[in-house]
Amino acid sequence: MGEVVASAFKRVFDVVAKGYNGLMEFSSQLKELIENVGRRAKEEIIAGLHRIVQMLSSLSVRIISTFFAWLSSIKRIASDRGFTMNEINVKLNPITIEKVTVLGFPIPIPKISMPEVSIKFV
Amino acid sequence: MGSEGVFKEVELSKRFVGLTEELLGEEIFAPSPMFPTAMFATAYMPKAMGMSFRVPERAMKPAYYPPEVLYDLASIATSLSSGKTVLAKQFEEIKKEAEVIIDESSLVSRYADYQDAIVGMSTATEMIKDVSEKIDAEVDHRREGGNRKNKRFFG
Repeated sequence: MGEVVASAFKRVFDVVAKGYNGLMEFSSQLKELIENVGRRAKEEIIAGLHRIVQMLSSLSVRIISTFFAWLSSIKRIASDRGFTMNEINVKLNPITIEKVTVLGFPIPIPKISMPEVSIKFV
Repeated sequence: MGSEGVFKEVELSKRFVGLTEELLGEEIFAPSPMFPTAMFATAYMPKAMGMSFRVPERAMKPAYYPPEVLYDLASIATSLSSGKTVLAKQFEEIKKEAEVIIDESSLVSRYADYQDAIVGMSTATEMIKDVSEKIDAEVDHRREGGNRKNKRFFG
C-alpha cells in the first residue's frame, strides 16, 4: 500500500507542481517515510503535507484572482469596443476548508468549487 | 482574418514567448522559512503558477497564441514581472497590441482554460485529501502489524 500512496502523491504533483523541487523531494521520500514511521518521519510527513496544502491554497487563490481580473478585462474591452456583450455575472462559492486527521494532526484541505458564469448580449 | 492579422498574432506570440523565457529563466522564488529549498523556474512553472494553461509545443513553428490568450497571459506576466521594469513594460506593450485585434466572437474563449485550471486545482485538493487518509490508514496498518509481532514475540 505504501506504493499506492506514493504513486497517488506523484500524480498530484503531475497535476500542479512539477517545478517545486522541495515538494518533489518529499514525494520521492514518502514511501520510505511511511515504511519507517517514527517520530521524525511523522514530523516530516505532517510538514510535507502542510507545505503541499499551502501551495495548493496559494495557487488556487492566484488562479481565482487572475480569473476575476480576466473577467473585468473582458467587460472593459467589450464596453470600449462597442461589442454586443453587455453583462457578465459570476457566482463563485468561497473556498472552504475541510480538516483531515493524519497521524493525529489536523491537515486543512481547501475545497474549491467551480464558478458559474452567465453572459448577456444586447 | 486576413494574412496581415495572422502575421501580427504570430509576431506578438513570438515576442511573448521570448519575454516569458527571459522572465522564467531566472530564479523567481527565493528560499524562505516555509520553503527552505530554493525553487527554480522550470518549463512547468507557468502552468503551476496559473500563468499559462495551454502552452504550445516547442516543435510548433511559429509560436502562435490567439489575441485574447495573448492579452490575458501578458496581463499575468506583467504582474509577475514586478521589480523588472523593462520586462513589465514590454509585456504591457504586447497586451495593448493584442487588445486591438481581439474580436467579439473570441473575447470569452479563454474561459475554458480557467475552467480547466480550477477543475485541476479542485481535483488536486481531492487527491491530497484521499492521499492523506491513505497515509493515516497505512501507518495504522503498519502499527497493528508491529503490535501483533510484538505480542507473538513476548507472548
